[in-house]
Amino acid sequence: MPDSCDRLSLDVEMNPYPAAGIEVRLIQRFVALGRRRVLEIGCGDGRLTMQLARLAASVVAVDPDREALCEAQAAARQQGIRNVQFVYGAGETLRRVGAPFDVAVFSWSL
Amino acid sequence: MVHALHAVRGVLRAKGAAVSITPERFDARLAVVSGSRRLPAGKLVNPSFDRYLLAAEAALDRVVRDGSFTLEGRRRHRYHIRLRGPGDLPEYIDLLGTPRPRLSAGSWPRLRTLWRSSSPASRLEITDGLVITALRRTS
Repeated sequence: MPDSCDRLSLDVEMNPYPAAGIEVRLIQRFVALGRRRVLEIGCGDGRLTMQLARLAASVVAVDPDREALCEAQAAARQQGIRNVQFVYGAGETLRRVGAPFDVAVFSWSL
Repeated sequence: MVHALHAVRGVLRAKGAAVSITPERFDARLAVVSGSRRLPAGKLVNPSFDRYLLAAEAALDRVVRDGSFTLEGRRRHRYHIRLRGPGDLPEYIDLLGTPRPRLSAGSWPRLRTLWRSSSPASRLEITDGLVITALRRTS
């Protein structure tokens, strides 16, 4: 993780995503998240990561954007979420950090 | 995405699940909303981005066909985002990242006309969609 995380702002005035809880509710129509080990690919600024972390036993959140990972890490710290490990990388080059997982979520990543 | 799905298969438990959340094919509808009144004002289109979405859909189908996963289910969901007005649209489009969507032909003049004649409490509503695809790892 880069050292410059603290300098990033968390202020978000506009959000192009669905309201909090919608995606997690939709995921759980197919897959239970409660107390599962979750891998999130493309976590970005951690918007969905925090929602997953509130249900899951643990989350490994991966993203190739260091700046976004910093924001995510700061958001987790601010919200007191401790069961998330942020990892720099991409889906194609997954390391075995935290494996095996019960659920992998491709979070708006193509 | 096929490579990523195969990589994920390698770190999933037996019978573990892979869930993909993607935008629906890019077709965000714009409307001027005042109270219960909703006036369609056009749409945002993004043909370049649609190519990525089609590739992602093809990748999901491919890992089912090659036996790496089974399809657990797929669900579409529409949701609304409200902006203060057309002035917020450039910032909203920026947040969507690249390639950037654009207003479809004729949308901007129609939106401007509707907005000028709307009440001060009006909002610009964007209806967008997502698709959730759930796959189950084969043993």
